[in-house]
Amino acid sequence: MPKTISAVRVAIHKVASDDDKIVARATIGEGQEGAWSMHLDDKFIKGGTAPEDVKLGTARKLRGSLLEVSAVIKDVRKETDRLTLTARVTPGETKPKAKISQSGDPGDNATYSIVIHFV
Amino acid sequence: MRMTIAVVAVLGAAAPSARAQEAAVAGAAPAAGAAPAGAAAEADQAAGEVAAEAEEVPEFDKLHTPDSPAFVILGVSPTEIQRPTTPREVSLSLSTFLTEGDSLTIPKNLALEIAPWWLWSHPDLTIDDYGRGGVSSLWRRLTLSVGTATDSVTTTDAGGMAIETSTTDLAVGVRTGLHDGVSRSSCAARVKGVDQKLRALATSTALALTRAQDNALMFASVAAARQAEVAQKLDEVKIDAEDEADIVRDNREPEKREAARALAIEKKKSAVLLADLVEHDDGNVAYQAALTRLKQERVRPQLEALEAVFAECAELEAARRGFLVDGGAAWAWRFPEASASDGRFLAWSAWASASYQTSWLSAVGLVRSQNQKPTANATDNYLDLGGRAIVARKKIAASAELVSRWLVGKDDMDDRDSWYWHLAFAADYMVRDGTWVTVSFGKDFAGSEAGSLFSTANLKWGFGEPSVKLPASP
Repeated sequence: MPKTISAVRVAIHKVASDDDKIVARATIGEGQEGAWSMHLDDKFIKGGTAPEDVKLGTARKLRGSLLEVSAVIKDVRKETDRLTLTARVTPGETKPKAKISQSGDPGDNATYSIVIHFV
Repeated sequence: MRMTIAVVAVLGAAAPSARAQEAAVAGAAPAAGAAPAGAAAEADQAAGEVAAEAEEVPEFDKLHTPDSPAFVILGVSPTEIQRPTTPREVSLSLSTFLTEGDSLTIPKNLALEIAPWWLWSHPDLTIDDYGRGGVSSLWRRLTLSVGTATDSVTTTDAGGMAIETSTTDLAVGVRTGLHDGVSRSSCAARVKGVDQKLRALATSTALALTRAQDNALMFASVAAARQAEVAQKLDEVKIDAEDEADIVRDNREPEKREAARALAIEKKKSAVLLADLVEHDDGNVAYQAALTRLKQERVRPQLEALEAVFAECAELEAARRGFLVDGGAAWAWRFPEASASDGRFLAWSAWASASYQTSWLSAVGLVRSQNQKPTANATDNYLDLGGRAIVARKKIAASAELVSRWLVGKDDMDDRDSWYWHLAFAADYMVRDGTWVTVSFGKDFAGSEAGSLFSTANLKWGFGEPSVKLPASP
C-alpha cells in the first residue's frame, strides 16, 4: 500500500532592491507526475503541472509576505523513487535552498509545502 | 498584565480551528475547496477511464525487467533475446541460489546492474522532458552491469585421471535505449479531468496561512524564556510614514485602509519573529515542526480519494508501447580456480534488439556479433540473428524465440558446423505482485551434442528497488 510523505521546508528570501519585480517558479522534478500551487499569504495565485514563471509583484510590496509553494507528487518512475519539489524565486537570494527531495517506496505519494518569507 | 493578554491573543490565533482553515483555504482558492459538482463527476469518470486502461495493460508489461547484459554474455540468462525496457536505478540478480541437494548454497551466478544517471537527483527533469526522449534519453537509459558465473570443467590428464577445474567467469556490460518508442505524456495530460483534480488537490492541501496565523505559529515556537521579550518587541511595531502613504494611496475605502494597515503591521511583526527564529535553533525547529504537523492534518483526509487513480497512473507509466530499440555490449574474462593471475579474455559481444509492442503482443528482433576465445590461442566469431514473440495477458505471458548462429571466418581445416540454432519456449506467471515464476525449455546452440536440450525454472522476486531474481539452475 503506497504511503504519503508530507514535508514542509521554510526559507527566507532576501530581495535585492525595492523596485525588483519578483518571479517565482515551481518545478516537480525526477520526471514524476504531480501538480503545484502558489499562495501569497492566504491568497491563491496560480496552479499548474508544468513549470511556469509566476509574477508576484515588486520587492517592496512583498517584504513581510509569505509565499507558499505546495505540491502533490506521485512516484510514477520505475527508475527512481525520489520525489522532488523545487521553488526558485528571482531576483534575490533564498536561504536555505527552497527544495524538498525525499525518497519513498515505489508508488508513494508526497505532499510538500515550501514556505518562503520575504525580507 | 497587558503582556499576558497579548500572548493569549497571539496564541489564540496560532491554532485556528480546522473549519476556519478550511473556510480560509476555500475562500482563497475556489478551484480547490469549491470544485463544481460537474468537475468532480468528470474527474471520477477520468479515474474510471485510467483504471480501465491500466486494467488492459498486462502485468508482464508493467513490471518485467530483462536480464543484465553481463548475465547474457555469461550464458546464464533464461532467454537469449531481451526485450527493450526501462532501466532501474539498481537491480541485483542472483542465480543458482537454491537447491544442490535441496540445500541452500552461495549463489554461483551474480549480476549487479546500475543505471548511473538515476543515482543522482534530477530536480529539473519534468515529466514532459522525460516523455520527449531524444539524445538525452541515451544517457538516462544507460545501464552498467557486472556479473560472475562459476562452473566446473572436467578434463583428463595424460594418465587418464579425471581432473575437475573450477572456473569463474567475470563479465561487464553496458546497455542503453536507442529509440524510446511512443512518447508517454503524463496521466494528467492524457486523461481529461485528472489535471484539474491534481491542481485542486495541490491547492486544497496547501497551508494557505494568513500573515497573522503564521505570525502566531512563529510566536508559539519562540522558546518560553524569550516570549516576554519578543512580545514586547511585537508591541512596539508601528507603521512608518512611507507605508502609511502607500496605504492611503492604494486604498480609497476606509475599510480597505484598515485591513491594509493591519496587514502592514503583521508584516512588520513577521520580521521581528523571523529574526528571533533565525537566531535561535530551538524556535526554528519548533516552527518547522508546527508547520509540518499542520500540513499532515490538512493532507490526511484528502489523498485517499485520488490514491486509486494515482496508482493506476503509475502502472500505465511503467508499460511502454510502440517501437523500441536497445543496444548493448559486454565483455567476459575467465579465471580458472578463481586465480586472478591465470585470468584470460573469454569473449565480447555487441547487439541491438528492436521490439514493437502492442497491448498484448510484442515482437522482438536481435542482431548480435560475438567473439569468443574458447582457448588462449583460438578465436571464434559468430553472427546471430533471432526473433522472439511474446504474448502477454493479465498475469500470464508466453514466448517463443529462435536464434540462428553462423560461425564466421571458419578455417577450411575446421570440421565444425558453420550453422547452429537455438529454440526456446518460456511461460511466465505472476504468483503475486512482483513475484514471477518462469519455466523455459528448448534446444541450445550445441548442435546435436548430448546436453543441447535445456530446461530452466526461475523465480523472480521484486522488492521494488533493487529487485532480486532467484532462478534455479537446469
